[in-house]
Amino acid sequence: MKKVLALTLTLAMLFVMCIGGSAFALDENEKVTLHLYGTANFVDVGPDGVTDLVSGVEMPGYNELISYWNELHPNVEVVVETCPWDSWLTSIQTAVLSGGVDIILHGATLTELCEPLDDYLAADPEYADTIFATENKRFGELDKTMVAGIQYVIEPSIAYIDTDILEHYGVEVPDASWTWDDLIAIAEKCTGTDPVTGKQTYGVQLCYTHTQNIFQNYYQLAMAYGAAPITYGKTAAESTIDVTGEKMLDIFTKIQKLAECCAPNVREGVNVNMDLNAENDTAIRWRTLAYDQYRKAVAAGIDDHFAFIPLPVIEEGDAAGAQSTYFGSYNMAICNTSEHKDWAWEFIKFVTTNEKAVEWTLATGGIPNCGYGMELLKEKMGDKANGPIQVLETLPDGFCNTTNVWYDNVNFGTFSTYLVTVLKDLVYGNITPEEAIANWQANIDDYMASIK
Amino acid sequence: MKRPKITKRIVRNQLVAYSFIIVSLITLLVLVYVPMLTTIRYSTYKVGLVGYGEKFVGWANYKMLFSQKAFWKSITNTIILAVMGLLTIPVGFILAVLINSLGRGRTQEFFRVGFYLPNIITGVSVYLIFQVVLMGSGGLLNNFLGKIVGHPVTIGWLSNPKYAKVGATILWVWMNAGYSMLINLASLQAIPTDLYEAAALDGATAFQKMLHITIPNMKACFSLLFVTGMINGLARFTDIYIISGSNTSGGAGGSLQTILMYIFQYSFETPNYGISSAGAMILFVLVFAFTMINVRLTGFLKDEV
Amino acid sequence: MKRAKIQKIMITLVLLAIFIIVITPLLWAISMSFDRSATTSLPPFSLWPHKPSMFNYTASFKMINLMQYFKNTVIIVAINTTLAVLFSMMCGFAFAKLKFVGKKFWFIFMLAVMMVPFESRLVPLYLQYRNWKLLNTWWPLILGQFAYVYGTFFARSYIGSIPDSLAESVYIDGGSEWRVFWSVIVPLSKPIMSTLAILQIISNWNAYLWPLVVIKDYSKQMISVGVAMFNAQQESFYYGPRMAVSVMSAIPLTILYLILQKHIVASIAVSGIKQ
Repeated sequence: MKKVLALTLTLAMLFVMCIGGSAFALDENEKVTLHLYGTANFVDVGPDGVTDLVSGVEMPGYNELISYWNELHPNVEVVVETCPWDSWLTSIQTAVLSGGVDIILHGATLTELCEPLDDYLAADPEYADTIFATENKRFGELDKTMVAGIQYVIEPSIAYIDTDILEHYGVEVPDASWTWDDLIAIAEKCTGTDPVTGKQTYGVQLCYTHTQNIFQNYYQLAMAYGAAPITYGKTAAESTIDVTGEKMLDIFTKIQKLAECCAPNVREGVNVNMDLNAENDTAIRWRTLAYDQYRKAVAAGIDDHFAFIPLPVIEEGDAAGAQSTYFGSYNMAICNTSEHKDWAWEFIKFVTTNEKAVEWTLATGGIPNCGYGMELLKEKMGDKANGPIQVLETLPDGFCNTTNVWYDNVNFGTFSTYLVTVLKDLVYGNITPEEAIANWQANIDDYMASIK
Repeated sequence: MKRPKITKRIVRNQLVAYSFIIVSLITLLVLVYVPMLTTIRYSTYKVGLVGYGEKFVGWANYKMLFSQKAFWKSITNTIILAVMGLLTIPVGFILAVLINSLGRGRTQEFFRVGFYLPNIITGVSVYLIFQVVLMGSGGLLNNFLGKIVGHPVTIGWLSNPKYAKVGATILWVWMNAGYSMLINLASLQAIPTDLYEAAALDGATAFQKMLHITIPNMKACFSLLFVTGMINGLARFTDIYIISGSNTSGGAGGSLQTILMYIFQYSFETPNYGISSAGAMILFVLVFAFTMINVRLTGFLKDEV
Repeated sequence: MKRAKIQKIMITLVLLAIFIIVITPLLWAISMSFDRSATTSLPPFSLWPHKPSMFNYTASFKMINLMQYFKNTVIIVAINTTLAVLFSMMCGFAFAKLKFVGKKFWFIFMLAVMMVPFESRLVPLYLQYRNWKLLNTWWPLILGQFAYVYGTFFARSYIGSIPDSLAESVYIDGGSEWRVFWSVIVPLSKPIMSTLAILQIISNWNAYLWPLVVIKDYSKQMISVGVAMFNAQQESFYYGPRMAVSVMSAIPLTILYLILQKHIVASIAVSGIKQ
């Protein structure tokens, strides 16, 4: 099966290269230098690779990826410059400003800098079918979407369940059809003193409470209950945002309930360890990077103690029946000032679909955004791959990950940063769900009034 | 006959004097004042990402800022934090008095060096440690306080809006008290000893000496620390940003959002460079106004120029 | 006499207690730098490593080109400190001892700069260097040092306290202001120069945002940016190696401070902080 797929892919690649070659007039003799700038896994692994300090897993550097590329296109030199994650948005914006950047690594959130890729995809339907998701964003005219970048790593949030703890409390391990209410019920049951080991356990670890990504908790619940506070107009000023109402209150109340089942450091969001570890005291946790977590669990010899299952099902809305999740990603965007957009596009296609490139991506710990990647994932993770794959396969077409009706971090100023503030307060226990919503709405109204 | 010579000498003196300062003046002009003009210009434009189109909008950016409660809150936060940060002055003074009373020698040198160490070792790593020192559940400070009062303490020094500013001030004092101590100590040691001797002859107590000799003689030192402390305090950014969990909306219900954090979110997170420029100008005016008031208040720089 | 001695011991003990509290976070950082269990989360507080190991140090040497960063930082800090101290002394001398038109204006012109936070002019300044085609070189780090405002302010007070009589013999010999500066002022100003030097060294050594933005080429980058490379992923830190690099980068600073600290106190005592 794998071989057949690989063969088809290679053929498809060849086909695309021939056709694409003429369509975009790529000249294989033309001497070109592509400049890549940004973060993503390029900065994580560096040019020559690193050893993960927690798991001891060796990860290949990006020079390996580039050598594969140069086997195919010796005429196109690829120069990578990375920046640290600290202040990375600042680094990327200033780097692009100084010119000469062709591909922005992880730059799709900076929509203003990105070449819209819709036409590229339309001209390449074969390729569009091979990948699962694209970075769809609303920007400028908000009633439309544009493809700002392509993910080469796609990371659905997955729940990691400590089956030992559930067993000790006599709770059955759920399957993908569970609801958020089921999750809360398990969390409440598993918070307390473990009847077998006598140790303190916690029902749940809300994800990323120590970072701005705490918003993902809201995101996943809002997705599950079809909350749609944002009504898009043509512009930001013509759009309306209303986060009040029963549904939202229910979501925030659920977050509060979950927070009560968290360890104190998780509620406070300080010094939180989200990695699966041998001293685990938490029944359910969820986050992106399923393959990376799997490798860490294997290295610690604890993979048998955890079940990897999708987050609860979406109960309401158009996507009902699919799994709620948040997609993390590493993406590549073509900088709209690039002079080699055609080659940049070729490089992105190479990274997302070339077999060796996909293997490289997986080796750095990321889940590749294509069918072949899924095959590889199954091979490496066995049954535990089913969770992430199921989420990806149920993904609605044209899904806008970060500019949709319940969450938008591009168009509404402090909408997303203030959400972080109220969630932190709610999770720590400073405020009630009602207050959280009222504060958030007040901040939104304030902003919306100021842009009118 | 004589006149041209004098004129020539005056001109020469002028040129020599300017030869000492001209390089620095040009540097400041080109690297501070010209960029500031650019900032003023941007503050009247609608700019998303710089270099990606701009449109003149007049006062709109300023209006937008002043209409936002969050911006006013960040101004209040900044001022309160800066004022609370002035705590470094008394702390530094007390430390300096204690250290000074040891008399010159090894012990004094040890403390002088030791208390300055936090000023040398700064940066993100230290802020990361302080997040844990000040955390509510099992933080170092709470454990310590718990031992003193005899029952567990769970104050969220950075998480609870009621205490967050206190927590942030603890970090600020920790970082800056050494500098304040050093300046205080040096000023203490510069007070002529005969003043104290004369007072001792008059039978003054230690407290009276402190009140009537030490403190009046420290006035210049206090005003220097006060004025520069306010300037630095109003421009607080990196440390607060990190201890707020790298969230520009500020930790603990936004109670730690300073103006620079507010500006920063519009510079790079949800880029709207026009708004952030307007914010920068407002911050400048604020700092300038405060400094002028402080200079008047303390008599700092009086008869100096 | 005895009472004074007891009092002194009491004060020493009080100071020692405060000192221990102040220094604990730093000791913890050092302990963590030798702790193998400090990875993506902090181990519980302990002044002795839970799993003592040199791992963080060897790992940080392996993961980034630490020696190159160190070398770059030392070069830049040396150049910048020399420039900043020299030019602040020159300005300080002019404002303290020379008479010229516009003196008051230019002094305020300089002091006003203190009130412009660097973060708020970062982008325009960056654009300027881009137009001059000086990005990704060390020039943006160096050029700003030709004016050191805080330094000018301190130097002016210090030089103001040097009696004019010392310079007179040079003037009588027909020497110029520049000769006074070099042969009288500079030799007498070692304390203030040491102070300004250490303040400059510390701030240059720890500067992060500006080098991060203007230098893309890692072979030219500074140690402060090197420290930031120890993020395991976007949102998590490798605490152990971070602490190891922080400790290593603090060692030269601490040694320098130990050498220069006597001058620092002396200089502040003399300069205009007294009435």
